[in-house]
Amino acid sequence: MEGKGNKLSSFTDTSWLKKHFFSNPAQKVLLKKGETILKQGEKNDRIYYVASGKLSGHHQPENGSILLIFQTGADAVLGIYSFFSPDGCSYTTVTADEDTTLYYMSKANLPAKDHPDHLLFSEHILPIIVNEIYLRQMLVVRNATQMEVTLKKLMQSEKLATLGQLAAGLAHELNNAIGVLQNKTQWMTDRLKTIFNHKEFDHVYPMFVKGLEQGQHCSTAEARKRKEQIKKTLKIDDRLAKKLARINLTDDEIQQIAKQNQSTAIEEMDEFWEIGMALHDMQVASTHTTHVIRSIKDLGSQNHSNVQACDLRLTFKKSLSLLSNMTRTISIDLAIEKGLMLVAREGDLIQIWVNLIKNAAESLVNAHTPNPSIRLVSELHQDSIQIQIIDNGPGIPHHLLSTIFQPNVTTKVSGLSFGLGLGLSIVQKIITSYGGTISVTSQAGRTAFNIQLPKA
Amino acid sequence: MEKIYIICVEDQREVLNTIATQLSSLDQYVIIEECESAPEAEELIEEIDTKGDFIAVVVSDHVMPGKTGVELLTTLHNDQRFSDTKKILLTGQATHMDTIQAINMAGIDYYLEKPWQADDLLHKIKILLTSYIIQKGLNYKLFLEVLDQETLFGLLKQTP
Repeated sequence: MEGKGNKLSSFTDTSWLKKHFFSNPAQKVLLKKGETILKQGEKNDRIYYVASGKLSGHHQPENGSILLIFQTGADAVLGIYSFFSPDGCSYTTVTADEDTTLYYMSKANLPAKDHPDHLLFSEHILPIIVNEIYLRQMLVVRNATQMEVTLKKLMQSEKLATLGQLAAGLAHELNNAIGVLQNKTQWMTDRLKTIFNHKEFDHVYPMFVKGLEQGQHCSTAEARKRKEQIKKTLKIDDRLAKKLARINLTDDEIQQIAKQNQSTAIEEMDEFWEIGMALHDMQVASTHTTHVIRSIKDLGSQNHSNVQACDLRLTFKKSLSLLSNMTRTISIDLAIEKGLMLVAREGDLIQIWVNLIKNAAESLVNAHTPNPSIRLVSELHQDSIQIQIIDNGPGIPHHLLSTIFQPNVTTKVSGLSFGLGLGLSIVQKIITSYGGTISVTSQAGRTAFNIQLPKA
Repeated sequence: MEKIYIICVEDQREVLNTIATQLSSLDQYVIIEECESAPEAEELIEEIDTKGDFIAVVVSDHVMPGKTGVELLTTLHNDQRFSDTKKILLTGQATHMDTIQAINMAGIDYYLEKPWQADDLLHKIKILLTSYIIQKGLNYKLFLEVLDQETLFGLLKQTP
């Protein structure tokens, strides 16, 4: 804690007091550097006037470290608090920082009530008392403010740590569940493959494999177009044509069907194709879930993961899969070159990208930007890699641009999102820790965050 | 005989497949159409309407690129031609505001949260299909297999 000088305010004139009370050579004290004049908790019935030198006052709380309360020099007055307070005890231990000369007055020196000096003493000591109260009040305010700031910082870092732990725990639980689904899907796929790969299923096995390997290959619009064609070619009803259309058959295969007992054959083909397609979808879904979980886990355990060579493009892909829900309505152009490697903690990189992409996505969505898009670009320089995250949103308000990397600056006024205003300050901190830089340029329709990271 | 359509709109392929499979037991009686986006659905709906066929139910996902499910269903809700069409909204993560908007603006008939149970979806669709057919005065006897009996009896009692 920084002790403020115990200087008296300008309207306080000590000359009268000095002349009448603090000039008696018998009441003069010479302190060597390091000597103590007042002790915390001990009785004091003197007021000291500092003629020359320097002193500081410390307070030791019951269970805490020593706090510096004030530092003071010539022309200051000491002991006001204990002299006038009911318990008469000193609040601090006052020690000389250098050789110091003091004069004191004791309670015995106080003018009697009927003495004319009584009133004059009161008049001259009052500003000094007020000054003392003022200084103590300032101390309280300063401490309270500092405590508030510290507490806030603590809560925020705790919040982030909790979030990380929560994510790691969640990822673990989900991993177990999804692991079962993924393995059983694989098992069932293998089993069915064996069972269907048999003479009696010869005519439908290729359909099963087609569904399994491709899923539904064509878009719904294409499938509808194809359905109309097939309807004409085979002269079958809408329902059957639709089934054939989605299987993605070759014209040859369709000609084959034309020769068979159509409706039974088509129903059967569709059934086997659909079983294959279902397994395909299950695999796609569980793989996607696994990716999301892995990304969450990477984010949560960032402090434990090791520095390693990271594939830059891959870190972007992981970040995007984390944000896939938020960025679904946005067209994302991942123009990060393949094969760029950076030596870093993967979790750190993901955290940077997630923060920046999330900001861009939120601004695009909140502003209802038409054709919202985010471009992720990389450029290789001689000893650094430059990465740009560019969106076509409304831009960052001009007056915020200069403070955007400071903590507690946020453009997010409402909503359920984490609008703590910490994101960019953390991003900058991480980037700086790798010896990189981040800057931003923003105007309506183009906001670009430029990150420069040194090549290893 | 007039054709009755159920339209499913969902941008994620695997989820759309799931809906279609869950509704496949109805496809002997009604036509199930799949769409990957709201604009695609709108185009298809126009086409069906031009042919004079009926759109009984639209099942739509909420979060989709381009146009959201709520926007699609709102457009439909405000179109006189489809005032009887039933609307189901599927959603993965609904906020309070989305829900309010969906009910107030899009006049949705049922709100289904992901992940849903196949039985639940099928049951709801049958109920909505039944009331659509009765409202439109179509020959319900042709569709008995895919109607919800309880709803049907209830509605028949009301209409003399």
